[in-house]
Amino acid sequence: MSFPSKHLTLTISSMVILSMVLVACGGAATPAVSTSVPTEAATSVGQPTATEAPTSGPTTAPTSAAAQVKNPDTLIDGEISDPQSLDPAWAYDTASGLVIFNVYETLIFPKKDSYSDYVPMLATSWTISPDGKTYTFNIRQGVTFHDGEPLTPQDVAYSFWRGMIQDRAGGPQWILLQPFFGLNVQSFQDDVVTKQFGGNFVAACEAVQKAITFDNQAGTVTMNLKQPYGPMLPILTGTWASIVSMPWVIQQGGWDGKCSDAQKYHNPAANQDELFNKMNGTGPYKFVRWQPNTEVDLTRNDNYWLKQPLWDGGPSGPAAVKNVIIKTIPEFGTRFASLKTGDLDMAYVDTQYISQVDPLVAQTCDASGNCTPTNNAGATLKVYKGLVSPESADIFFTQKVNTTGGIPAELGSGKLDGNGIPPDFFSDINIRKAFNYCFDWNTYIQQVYNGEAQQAYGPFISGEIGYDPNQPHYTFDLQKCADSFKASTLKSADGKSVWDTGFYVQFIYNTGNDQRKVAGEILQQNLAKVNPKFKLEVVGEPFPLELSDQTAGRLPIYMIGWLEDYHDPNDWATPFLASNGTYSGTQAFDPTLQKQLDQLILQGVTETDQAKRQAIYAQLQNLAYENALDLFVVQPQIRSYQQLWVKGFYFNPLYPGAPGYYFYSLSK
Amino acid sequence: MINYIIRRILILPIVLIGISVLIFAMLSTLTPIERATLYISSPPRTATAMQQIIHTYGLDKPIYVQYWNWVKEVLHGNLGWSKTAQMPVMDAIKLYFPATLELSIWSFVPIMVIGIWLGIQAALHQNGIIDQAARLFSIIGYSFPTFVFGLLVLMLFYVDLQWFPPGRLSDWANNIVYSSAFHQYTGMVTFDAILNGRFDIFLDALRHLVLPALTLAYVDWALILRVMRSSMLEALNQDYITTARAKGLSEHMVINNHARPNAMIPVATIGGLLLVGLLNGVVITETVFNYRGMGLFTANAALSLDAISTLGVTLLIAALYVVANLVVDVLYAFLDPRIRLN
Repeated sequence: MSFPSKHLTLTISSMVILSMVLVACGGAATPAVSTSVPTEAATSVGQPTATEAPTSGPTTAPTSAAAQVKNPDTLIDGEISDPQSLDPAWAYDTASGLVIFNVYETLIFPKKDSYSDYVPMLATSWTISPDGKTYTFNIRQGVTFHDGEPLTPQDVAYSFWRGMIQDRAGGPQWILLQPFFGLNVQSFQDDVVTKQFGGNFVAACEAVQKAITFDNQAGTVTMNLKQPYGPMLPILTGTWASIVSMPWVIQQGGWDGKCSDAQKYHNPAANQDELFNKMNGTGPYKFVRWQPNTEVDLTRNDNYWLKQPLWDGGPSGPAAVKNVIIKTIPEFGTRFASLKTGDLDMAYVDTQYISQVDPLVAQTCDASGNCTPTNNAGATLKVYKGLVSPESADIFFTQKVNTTGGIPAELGSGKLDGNGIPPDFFSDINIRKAFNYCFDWNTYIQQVYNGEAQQAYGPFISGEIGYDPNQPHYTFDLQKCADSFKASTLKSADGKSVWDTGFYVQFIYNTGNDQRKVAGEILQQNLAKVNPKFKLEVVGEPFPLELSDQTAGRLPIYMIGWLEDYHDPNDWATPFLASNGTYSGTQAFDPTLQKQLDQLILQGVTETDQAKRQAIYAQLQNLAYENALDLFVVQPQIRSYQQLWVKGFYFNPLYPGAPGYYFYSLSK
Repeated sequence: MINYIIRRILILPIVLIGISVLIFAMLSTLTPIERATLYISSPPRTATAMQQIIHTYGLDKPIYVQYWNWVKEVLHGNLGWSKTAQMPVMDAIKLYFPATLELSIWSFVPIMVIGIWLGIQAALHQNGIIDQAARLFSIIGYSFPTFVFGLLVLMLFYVDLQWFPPGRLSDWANNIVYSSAFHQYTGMVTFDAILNGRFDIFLDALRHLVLPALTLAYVDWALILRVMRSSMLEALNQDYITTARAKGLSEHMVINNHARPNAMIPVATIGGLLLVGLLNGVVITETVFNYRGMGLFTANAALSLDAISTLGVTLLIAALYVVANLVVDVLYAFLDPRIRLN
C-alpha cells in the first residue's frame, strides 16, 4: 500500500470510530431545547414546596419553565400492550381497561385516590336493605351518551344483563354472577343455566332480568342478591360494570333484550362481539379510533354531564385536554427516546431500566402528588414513586403433585433419593416452613425492586382487610431453615431422612420474568448453604407451558403473581385459599384445613358487619401463615414517569393500568 | 418461456399445501391447553374457563379435523381471525404487507443503486481510495448488529437532532390518513399521499422512513457491494473485455455494455433474495423504530402461538419466495443469453 492510501484508510476509520463514540456519548444529552439552570435549584432540595397544590413544583425547578409544552392539546401515553377488546363486558386486561375506564362510566366511582370511599357517578344515591340482599340505585338524570341518546335506568339494567348473559370464557363476568347466583358460580352456562335451570337458557336469562330490575318512571335500578355480599360496592366500580346504551348496542347488531334470542349472544369470540372495536359511553372522552397494536385515539366529550366536581379540587365540565392518544410501544429504547424528546407525556418504564431514566428526573413525587426537586441538571421529567400496586408475587407449593401420565421432570427422579422429590414432598409442613425460612426477603427487595416493594405476609396484601403490619410472618433465618428440614418426617425408601438424602426439585417461573428468576436463585443459594445436598434448579418455562402445567397441578413449586380484580379481601381469599381457587384449587391442601378455609371464606363474603369481617379475614391470614401454605414474597410498588408539564396526577390503585391514568383529571 | 413460467407457477399450490401440513404437524405437538393460552393472558380466574376456551376454538378436535376446517375456510377466501393483529388475517396482511413493501422499496432501491454503483467503482479502481473506503464501510456495516445501529441513529437523529422520528406518521398526518378525506389506494402512505395530492403527508411519511431505511441499507449495502465488486472484477478479467477494448470501443461502452451485464447475474440472485427477505419483514428494525410491518406481526404471532396468523403469513411468504425465484430465473435469461429456460 502506498503511503497516502494507508494514511487515508487510518483517517477514515478513526473518523468512523470517533463519530460512533460521539453518538454514543451524545445520546445521553438533553434535547435541543436550551435552558438556564438556576443554581438555587440545588439548594431548594431541603425545602419541599408543593404541599398546597399537587404537582405545582417549586418555581425554581430546573428547566420546567423554559421547556415548551409539546402537543398542548393532546395527552400522549406510551404503554406496552394493546387492548384486547373495547367491550366493557368482555375485556379483562388492563390495557383494555385503561381505554374503557376513560370512555365509559359506572354507577359509583372511587373518590379521588381512595379505594374504599365512593362518590356517586351514574347513580346519584343508593340504599341497601337491612338484610344486605337488596340494593336500590337512583339513576342520574340529564346524562347523555356520546351519540346523544339519554341515559335511562333501562340502559343500566340492560348493561348488567348483557354482560352476565355474555359471560365469555376467561372473562370478568364471574365477578358479577356470584352475588346474584351464588358464591360457587363461576360460569353462566355451567353453573347457572345447567346446574340451576336444567339447561334452560331462556329461564336462566329471565332469572337474570328478575335479579336486576329497572323503573324508568321512578328512575331507579334494583339489584336483588342471592345472599348478602360484602364486595358488592367494590365490584360495581370495575370496568365490567360499565353502562352501555341499549338502543345503540342493538343498532350495532347486539342483543335486543329478549330472552328468547339471548343464547346466541353467549360466549362470543372477541371478533364476533359487536362491541369489540366500537365505543359509545357517557364519559369525559369519546372514542375516535383504534389502530390495533398501534394506538387508541380519544377526543373530548364537549357535552359531558358533570358540572360540579365529585370531590374537592376535582375536575368538572369538559375535559381540560382536547385529545388523548394511548400508544403501544413495546420496545423500551424507542419509548424512552420519545419520552426524552417530549413526544410522550407519560410512559411505562420497566423496572430494569429505571436507572437509565432517573438522570432525567427533575422532581420526585409521592402518591398524592407532593413533589420535591432533585438536583439533576437539565432534567425534564418527574417521577411518582412508591405507588403501592394491588398485586403480589408469590411462590406456591403443590402438596400432592399430579403424576397421571408420568412423573413430571420438575420432580426429578420422583423419589426421595437425593435426585428428586416424591409427589407429596410439600405435604410436610416442616418442608414448607423450611423453604420460607430460607428465603431472604431483604436482599430480594433490594436487588430486584431497588427497595421499592414490601414483603407480603399472606394472601391479603397491605391496604386490604385481613392484613396487619404487625402480624406474625416468616423472616430469613438459615438456622430455623436447617432445623425445619431436620424436623421433617419424610423418609426415603431405605428409611433415611431428608437431611441425609438431600433432594432435587425444579423451581418454575415464566421466561422473561427476571424478577421471579432471581427469587428462585436466592432460594437456590440459601438451600445449598444450609445443606449442599439440597438442589433447587431454577427453570424458566414459556408462559403457555407454565400455565398448562400449573392448571394440571404438575408443578411442585412455582412463582406467579396475582393482580387484584376488585378491592375486597374475597378477591384474594378465593384464588389463594378456596378449594376451587385459581391457585389453591391444584395445591391439594389438607382436607380438614381446606374445609375450614372454605367455611371461613363463605362467612367472610356474606358477612355485613365490618368488624366481624375483619376478624374472619385476619383468621384466614393467620391460617395461611401457621400452615405455611405458600411462600408469600412481595407486594411491589410502581412508578409513573411523566413530563414536568403534566398536571393533576394522583395514584389510585383501582384505576386499570400500571399505573392507571384518569385523563379527565390531567392537564398540560 | 411461457411454458416454463406456467410450470413454475404450478408448483405453488404444492408448496403451499406442504407448508400448511408441516405447520399443522408442528401444532399437533402442542397440547390444547398450550394453544388455548393465546386467548388467556393470565391464569384463568375460574376453573372452567380453560376448558370453555378450548371448546370454543375447537382446540381439542383431532389435528386433521382442525386442518380440514382451516382448509375449507381458506378455499372460501377466509384466512381466519388473527388474535395477534386483532383483525381478520387477510386484513392484517393488507395492512402490514404494504407497510413492509413501502419500507422495502424505499430501502431496496438505495441499497441496490448505491451498492451496485459503489461495487463497480470499487472494482474499477481496485485497491484505490474508493475501494478501500468501500470495503471498510462494508465490513463495519455487515458486522453491526441491526438493533445497535438502529438505536444509535435513533438517539442521534431523533433525540439529539430531532430530525427523523420513529413510527410511520406524525399524529397530525395519522389523523388525516384515517379520516374520510383521505383515500387509501395502496396502503403505502408515500404513494397514497401523492395520489391524494397531499405533499405534506408524503414528506412526513418520508421523514419517518429515513431512519429504518438507513438502518436496513447500512447493513445490506455491504453484501451487494462485495458481490458486485468481485463479480465485476471477474468479468473485467475475461477475454471478451480485452477483445472489446481491442475493437476500439470506449471504456464507457466496455463497462456498461459488456462487463456489467455479465457481472449482474450473481447480484440479481442476491438482490432477489434480499428483496424477499425485506418483504418478510424485518422484525428488529420494525421494533426499534416502532414501524408496524410484517416482521413484528409475524414474530408476535409466533411467540403467542397464534397458529392462524402464522399460517396465513407463511402462505404469503411461501408464495412470495416461489414468485421471486421465478422472476430471478427469468431475469437470468434476459441478462445472459447463454442461459436458456426449458
